[in-house]
Amino acid sequence: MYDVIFIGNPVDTPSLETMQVEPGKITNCKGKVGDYALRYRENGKVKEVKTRAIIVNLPHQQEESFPNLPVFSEGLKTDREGTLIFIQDNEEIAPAFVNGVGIKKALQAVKYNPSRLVYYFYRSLRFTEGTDQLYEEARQAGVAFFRYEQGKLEINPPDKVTYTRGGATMDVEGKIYTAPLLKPAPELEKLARVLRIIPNEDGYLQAENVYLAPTLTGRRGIYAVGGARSLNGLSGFEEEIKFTLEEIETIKNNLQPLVEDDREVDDRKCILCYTCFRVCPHAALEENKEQDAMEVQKEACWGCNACISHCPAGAISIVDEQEDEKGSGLQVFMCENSAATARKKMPQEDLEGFISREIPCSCSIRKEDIYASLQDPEDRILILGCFEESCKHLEGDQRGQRIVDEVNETLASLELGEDKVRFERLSPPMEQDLANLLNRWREGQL
Amino acid sequence: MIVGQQKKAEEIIKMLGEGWESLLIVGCGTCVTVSLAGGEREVEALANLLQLYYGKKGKKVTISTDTITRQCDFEFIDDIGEKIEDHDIILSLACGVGVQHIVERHPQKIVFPGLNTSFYGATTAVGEWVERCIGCGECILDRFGGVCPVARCSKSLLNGPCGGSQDGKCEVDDDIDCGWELIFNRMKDLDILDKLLVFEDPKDWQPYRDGGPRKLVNKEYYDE
Ligand code: SF4
Ligand code: SF4
Ligand code: SF4
Ligand code: SF4
Repeated sequence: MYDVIFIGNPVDTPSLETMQVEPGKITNCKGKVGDYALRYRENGKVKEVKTRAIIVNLPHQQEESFPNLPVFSEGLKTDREGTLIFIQDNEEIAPAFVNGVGIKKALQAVKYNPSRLVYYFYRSLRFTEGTDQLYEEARQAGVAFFRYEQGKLEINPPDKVTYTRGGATMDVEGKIYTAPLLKPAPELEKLARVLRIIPNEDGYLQAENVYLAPTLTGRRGIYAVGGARSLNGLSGFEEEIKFTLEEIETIKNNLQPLVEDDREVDDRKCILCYTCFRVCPHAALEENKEQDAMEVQKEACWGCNACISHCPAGAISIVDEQEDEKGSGLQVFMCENSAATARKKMPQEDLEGFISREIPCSCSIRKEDIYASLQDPEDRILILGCFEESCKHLEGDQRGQRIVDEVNETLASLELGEDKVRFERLSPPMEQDLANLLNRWREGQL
Repeated sequence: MIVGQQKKAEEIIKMLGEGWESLLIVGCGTCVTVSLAGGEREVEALANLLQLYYGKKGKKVTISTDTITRQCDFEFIDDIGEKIEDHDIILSLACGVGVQHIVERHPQKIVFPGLNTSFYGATTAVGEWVERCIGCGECILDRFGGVCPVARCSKSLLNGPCGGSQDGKCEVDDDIDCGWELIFNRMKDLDILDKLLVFEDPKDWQPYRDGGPRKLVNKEYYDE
């Protein structure tokens, strides 16, 4: 059993047992945090290794953003004379990391030779830790920064740039460097599928989500660093590696489940349809070949209940769960990660008249339960989920929204009321908004 | 597996009509559970919805539910035989095979379909299925690089594309991949394009529906 397997570039870690596998060779990954079985192909044979955790570390792919002009992340080593022109954000706004590299290079250039002219054109500067200082320093050293609007910078290779702002235009000539365009490594697409990780929009392994800092992915025990993580993956590599290795020490020495309740699959009801496997945002389900049924792997489960609400056979349940009494009247279901937190800070009298219930995620609601809770003419249901990028279960809010949309469409088609069920989004510090929302909803003004 | 889609509640209610007091909704625990249209969960949701509807209309009805492993096998139907007899109307959430199998076993009962049986499909994502085979009765996948011209070309052409394909999409609908482009590309990749030079005789459609309803006997198990 290894402590960690590096997919891609390894990092020196004296206290951990490690191994490295090339990304293109990975064929399968089963198991869970603390006990992964990773398969890969080597010399035509399939091998399997066990590991407690996995770190994917691949560089970004770099492309020129302007044909035939050098990129500043690689260039400048030799030329110490003449005017320099840096262009950032030519095609798309560069990530903070590129922005940092660019300013640093511009500063170096004037430091080598304070008498040369250095222009820095940008559409947006992102000041992360360290870059604001760098920017100040570069300005003082004489780098001339110019903000431009898209379409207002004409680039004429090899050495001329026309800048327009308001009614004025300025021509500058010099050696032009552009910011590189960063792309995810080509292997990431397949890796995301094999490792069962929900990627972000650009195809990197870390979904845009507040719960996934700094190197976490939605699957516990699998970490994405550097160019595998996201466009911001290179801003604090050292700290990120440090965090990740500490996490792995914890997995090794003291792995605890994330949630208290156990989720159990009834092997007589499970038909191995794989729906739960597909909807679990944390890849916590695995087929148990001996039982011929799915199994929730406790250490991997984050407790969202998406599997329970989506299983078409009703095969998954929480062990020893108390059946909730069927509510009636004004019922509010609050996600424990947002609205339920806000509720705790809200004056309790504002809650009077509502039956409120805490749910682990808005995706845990089931349409059959919604219909069952609407049997009285006075019954109405409000479901409060999180904003997209702060849903702890990555796609949970979207699933919750879809369930409510479908229910509403059906209710409307039968003229059973269009305003009986509502879905709204909140975040934990929004207690005032929650109070207002509840009031408006009570008055039927949502 | 068989992919189905639940009928709209409006249509189901219209179908159920008036003059009954008890309804049994029967789910099917195999294909249509996997295709998320007629398993236990869908059965419960529909029952609760109908209860809500008839409650609001002030109509007194009893709605019961059950989900059996397969409605296309009598043994499972017989497990709930008494229950079926005890209800005025049966609403089956199986494919059309299941609906008719209940009808055969319970000739006196009114049995309605709650689903539209769509096609034989493969799951491409959770909640998405695609058609890959129409059950033509005589498989020819060996000659077409494993991509079916009957099911995947909108016109079921057997000797090459129609000429209307654009950017890999079928002229019938941009959402459909041109089956013939898929066949060509795959056979090119496998370097077996020469197989396509053999003229394909007109297909015998007898083994398909055109020979009338089909029946199959496995002689090892069954002697007519
Ligand atoms: S969703 Fe339910 S029936 Fe399907 S595999 Fe999971 S537990 Fe089994
Ligand atoms: S509760 Fe959520 S995290 Fe746990 S197994 Fe089910 S879907 Fe996955
Ligand atoms: S009745 Fe239809 S849906 Fe049910 S198992 Fe048989 S073929 Fe599949
Ligand atoms: S475009 Fe392709 S798939 Fe469509 S009918 Fe023509 S050959 Fe068939």
